[in-house]
Amino acid sequence: MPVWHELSKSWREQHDLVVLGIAQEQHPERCDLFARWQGFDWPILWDPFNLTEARAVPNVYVLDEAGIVRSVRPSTSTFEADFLLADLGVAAAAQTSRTLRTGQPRLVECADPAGDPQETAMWDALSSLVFANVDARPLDDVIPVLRAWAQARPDDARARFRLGVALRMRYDSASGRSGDFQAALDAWSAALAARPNEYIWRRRIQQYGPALDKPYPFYDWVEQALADLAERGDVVPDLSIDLTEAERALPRRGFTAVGEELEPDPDGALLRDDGDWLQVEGAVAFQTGRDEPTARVHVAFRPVPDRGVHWNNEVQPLVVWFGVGGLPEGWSLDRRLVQVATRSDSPVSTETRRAEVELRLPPGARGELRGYALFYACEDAEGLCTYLRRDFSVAVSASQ
Amino acid sequence: MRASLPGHVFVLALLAGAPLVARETPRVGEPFGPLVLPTVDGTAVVDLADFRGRRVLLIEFASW
Repeated sequence: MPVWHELSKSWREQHDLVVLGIAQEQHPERCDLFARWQGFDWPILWDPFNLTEARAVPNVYVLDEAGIVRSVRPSTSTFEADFLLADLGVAAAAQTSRTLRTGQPRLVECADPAGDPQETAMWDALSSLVFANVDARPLDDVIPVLRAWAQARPDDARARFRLGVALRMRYDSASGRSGDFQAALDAWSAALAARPNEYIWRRRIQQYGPALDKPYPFYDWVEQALADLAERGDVVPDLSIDLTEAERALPRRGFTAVGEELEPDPDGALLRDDGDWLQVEGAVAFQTGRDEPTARVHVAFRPVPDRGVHWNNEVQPLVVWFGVGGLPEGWSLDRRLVQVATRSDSPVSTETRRAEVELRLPPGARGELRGYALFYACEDAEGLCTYLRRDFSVAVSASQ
Repeated sequence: MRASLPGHVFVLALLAGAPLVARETPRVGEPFGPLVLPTVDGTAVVDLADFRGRRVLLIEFASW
């Protein structure tokens, strides 16, 4: 896209050309950061639900004055001659644009008074998520509508993909529920299984999936972009949604199982947290290919808010050990010990911390990946500070 | 600082329930849209129809 951006600068100065972008990604603030970093000074529309039904990106379209597509993926070398300098003869067409808009049977318009009421409700539901401010999305109201729409149409893969987008939105929100992330991954995987050529859907899974399945690192540029914008004194968008390690990981060509690592609490001597201190949520993102399955296992740890639990950042970081009691036969991990340092400058904080490992297992294998976290935390200001072990398990089920 | 949106962008308050439409991937000779979506910075809603009468370069991409 930087190529088109550079070229379009002079075209916009010399011709009456409008440049618009459409971003096919879950988190708009990341695309906003990218645009600011790259100096894109044209509007970029956010399409998290893949409403344009693009199967892959990038796509470049040339539209004439009537909104008619005149070229798809045009050549940069002939764009000016073919399009900007050419007489496209669309004056008459421009006058009939309203007819063209409403006369296309392949178009789906929401809130069509003559349409199926359930379909209208579905479109209203999507609209309310796309257009609401991030803190005002009615996710608890909308997700049941999208789920009912998808369940009533077992063959509608697109409905499953969109349900997954909404579930991931809720996971990222303050109203996130345990299981939302896994439910999003499951919905996306079901959608992709039905329509494997939908590469926008595939990328949504791969974003969180194992390094072996990544076509490229997704958001490894973010740190540089933030630093460059800060150095330039430009506005730095608030990245309200933490990047997972999976989203910055470099692609790998093979799976390397971990060697020996020293288990931090091999005798199980530490006092246990039975759930009073940390909420734990696991999710498993499988590779989208059909080879021997690998998966990225995500485990999130949230201090229990009701009791004012907070991390104690003046001592060692959160340590997570995977594979307690050994792994089922045929399973292997790329690492077992993960340290999760705080990114907070404060001596205490309450952010969600995440540990990730990659797992290889036989096709069709089912089981649990067990582990534990060792952490320092405190209760309310005058409360107890302690060092505890929290055991957890993540259900893993590989398709055949 | 990023340039502000051009004046012809149809800016609405970020209304829940604003009209939203979708279509299959267009081919040459077909209309693109209708399409109404918010911008990634959350400051505007853009209706593709508001650019009728002008030529448009539409770039669909992802930052990854």
